[in-house]
Amino acid sequence: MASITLNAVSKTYSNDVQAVDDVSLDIADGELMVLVGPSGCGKTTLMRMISGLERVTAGQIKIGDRDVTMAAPKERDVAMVFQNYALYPHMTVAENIGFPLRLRGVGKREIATKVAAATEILGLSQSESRRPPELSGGQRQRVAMGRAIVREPSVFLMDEPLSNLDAKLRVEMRSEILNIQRRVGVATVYVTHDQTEAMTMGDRVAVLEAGRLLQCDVPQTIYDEPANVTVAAFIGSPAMNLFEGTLGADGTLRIGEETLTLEPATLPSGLRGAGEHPVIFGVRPEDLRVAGEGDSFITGTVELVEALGSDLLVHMDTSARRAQLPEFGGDDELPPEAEVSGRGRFVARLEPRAGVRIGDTLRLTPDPARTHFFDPASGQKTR
Amino acid sequence: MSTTDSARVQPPPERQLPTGLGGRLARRRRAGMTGDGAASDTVADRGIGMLLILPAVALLAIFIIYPLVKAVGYSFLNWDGVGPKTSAGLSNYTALWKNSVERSALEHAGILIVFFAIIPTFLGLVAAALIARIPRKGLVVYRVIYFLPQVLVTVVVAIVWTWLLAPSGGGTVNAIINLFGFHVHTAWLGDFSTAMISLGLIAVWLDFGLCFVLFLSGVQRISPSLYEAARVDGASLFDEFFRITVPMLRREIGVALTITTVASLQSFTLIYAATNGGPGNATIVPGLLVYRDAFQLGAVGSASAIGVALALLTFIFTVVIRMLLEPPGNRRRMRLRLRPRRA
Amino acid sequence: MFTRTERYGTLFILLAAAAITLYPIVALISAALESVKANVNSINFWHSLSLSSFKYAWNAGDFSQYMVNTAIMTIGVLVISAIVATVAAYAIVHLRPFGSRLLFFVCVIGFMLPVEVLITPWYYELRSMNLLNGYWALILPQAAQSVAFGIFWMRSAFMAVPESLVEAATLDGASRWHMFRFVLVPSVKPALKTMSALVFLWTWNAFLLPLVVESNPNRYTVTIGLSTFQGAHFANYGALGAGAVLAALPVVLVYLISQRSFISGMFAGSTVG
Repeated sequence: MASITLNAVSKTYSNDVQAVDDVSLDIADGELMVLVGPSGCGKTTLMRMISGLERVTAGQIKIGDRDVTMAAPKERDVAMVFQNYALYPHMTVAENIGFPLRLRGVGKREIATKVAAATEILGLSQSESRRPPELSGGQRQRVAMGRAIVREPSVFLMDEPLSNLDAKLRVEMRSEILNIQRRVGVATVYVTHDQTEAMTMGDRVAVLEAGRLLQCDVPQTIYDEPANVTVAAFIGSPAMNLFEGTLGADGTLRIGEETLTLEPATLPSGLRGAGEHPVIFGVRPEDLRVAGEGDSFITGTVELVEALGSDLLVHMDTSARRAQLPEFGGDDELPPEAEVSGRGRFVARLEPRAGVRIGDTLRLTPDPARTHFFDPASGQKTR
Repeated sequence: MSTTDSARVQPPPERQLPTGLGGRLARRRRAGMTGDGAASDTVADRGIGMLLILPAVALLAIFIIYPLVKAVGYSFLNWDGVGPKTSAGLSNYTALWKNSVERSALEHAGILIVFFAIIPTFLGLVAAALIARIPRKGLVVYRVIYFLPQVLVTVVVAIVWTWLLAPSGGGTVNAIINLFGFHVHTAWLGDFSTAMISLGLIAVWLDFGLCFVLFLSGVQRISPSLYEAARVDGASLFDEFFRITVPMLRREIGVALTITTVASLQSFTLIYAATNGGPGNATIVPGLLVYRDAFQLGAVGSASAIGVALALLTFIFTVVIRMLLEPPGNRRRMRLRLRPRRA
Repeated sequence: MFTRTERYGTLFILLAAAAITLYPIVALISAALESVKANVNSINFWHSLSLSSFKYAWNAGDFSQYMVNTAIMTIGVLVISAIVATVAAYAIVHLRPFGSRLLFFVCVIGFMLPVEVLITPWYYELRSMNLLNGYWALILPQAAQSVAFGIFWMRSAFMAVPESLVEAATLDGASRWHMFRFVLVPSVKPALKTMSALVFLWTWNAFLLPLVVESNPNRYTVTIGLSTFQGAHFANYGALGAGAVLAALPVVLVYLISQRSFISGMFAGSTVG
């Protein structure tokens, strides 16, 4: 058991692709750290560098007090669960789980005891003598977990372990993995592109993009206080509404032809009374509500209404200009709403019985305490 | 340099290529990222690697590369195997078409390609196409039978066919023909006019099954609905064959032609055991000439020239068949496949 | 749907093709069961059912010696090529030694080269090494060609092992040897089996090589022995048939046991490059 320390770690491939760029991160003993980000953000590479499967170009990696930057994978005492499980197809479940012990020269009887204990925890006792091709997806996943825990490693690495399972099983396995992780209490790095997994599983979440660490914090803070516009756009579904605008000294926000008057006290101190500022204004769908008397509002035409039962997702067309954001990898990894909410559209999560219909003209007002301002040049949150 | 340019030259690899099993390896290979993988001792790896390929390298160097170089060298010499060697220039090669024996050997090789490769491929295609129209299970037994000639020791094939092609006697081909009221007494393998064709028939017997088995497995992959659709559209049997079966079996046809053509060029054993080139030189083939020249007539140079020519023909045919039968889009990939990917 | 004619037509094609394929083989077997004393020189189906021809071929015809020689050659080639090729292919894929690209290229060439072009140099080479007429003259050149094929074949097998499996074993703490022995070799076992079946067929069937390098009848392989026997017993179908059946039997048996990998291997392996 140990902590993991990443010290300004970088990875440059031989063809000059910078996969990981100057990432520093501390993962406490027993903590589950989720690395999340769009496809190609470097999260997997970063994890593979911790495992030793990938060489570090610059920086330092420590496990506990030990500098393992140049150590071979097997000297690092890490266990990894692979995306495709990487079970040995010619070995039975018991042999698969016992293999790391066998390689360490552990005695046969001890292996049997430990394997039995692991299969017990994982509910695999009935299938000990079966081989991977005969197992279901969930069982294979458990075997992979078993092989990792049986060694009692200092560090656990999981590379998108749930991405090959169907949706229902994924939810089940999420809590199961959490249980096991709590039980063994080992520092764990968990890579995923799925923000729901990130939010639900991580003690802390590290958001990466283009090889850089954008923000690392507990899930609620990542959600409530995104450090920059990319994190804001990536975390949350439907995504945060992000629009280009100008903020006047008096708290007047102009986005497109719309004007919102905001209480200067609710603005970040950096923006108060400092003349005209170009900003990216952000507000989450659930932080918009139908404007009442005296509220400052944005107006538009309702283009689409999605009744989810618990809420109503309303897409409203306005003259505002959506902020230009970096494209995220594959389309499959974007929240589906992102596609629907095209340019100039506000998405609001309203009460289920708000009675909004397509074609209606709607006035929406943001919760003043929950607005976000980002610097259009750097993308960083303005404080 | 514009930014778009550099983006195209060095794509962020994970972003553009598919994920999934094997995807990562291929991805990293294509992105030129191997060689900086695991933080393990690559130098030691290479050293051990060199040690492990050493036996293979030695075996191949001594028994493939060195003899190949020697063979090419011999082909420019006049040498009887014992006495002094003198330069022959290109004469051993020009003899290939100037000398009548050599020339007929090459002609026979051409004839044999027709019998070994083209006829069995065609027959196999027709048979497979006819079968394909009716879904059928339990073809395993047939498959095992049809492929049997391929695993028979060649000398055995030669022996049994010399029996069957004898002029008379019970169970011979002649006897079977005569069942239908004919009176044939041809010594098929002993007659100048029939010997070559008779060898050809043996070749057809040998290779038909191979082609049939190959095409059968290919044909079973073609969805029957394709044929049903064609029939609804009013396609004739002929259309079905050339529009559906043949294009869908392109790959299998390529494989069949390659195997059988190579077999026909290297048919030394069959012909040595069946006719030994006779009667006269009626069934002489390049392989036989190599053996005779080198080990009976003491003409090592000319034997080597024939051998080299045979090797070249094998390569040329293999490549040409692949070029003809690969779909155009794949041709580039085919060329690349010859080179080992960075392993 | 399909008419009766179509249905029976298909069956007819299948059966006719099977009959034509099997006819010579049946003729051979029935001849082999002829009594050796009958001295027949025609095919009389199931004329007598005697094993005397086999006894004759085995003892008087020296087939016992030929079979032993061929077995020695085949086993030698199999063992050498399986080990050398597997180890080399493993090295090429996983250890990346210098020159592996060249080695692979040589393998493709070596496998496609006809024996005819190599046989003359082999003869003089083996003569200068004083190996003619011995077992090594049979084994070494044949093993070299088998290794050429084997490396090509096994390399693709090693490359087909998922990389994550190798990485998992690395993290599990496997050394090079453990990786090879417990992870890779079990994974490439089917390919190794197919390769062995093909090498077995090719070696057992080898003709030109033993014809040239063995002039000592005590070292004849069964193919050369049979060919000599054919010259001496062309008029005794029983004896010749029995010899032919003996010569063919081992490969046919191996084929019948492992026909699936045999057939697919033949197709895949014969179109190298």
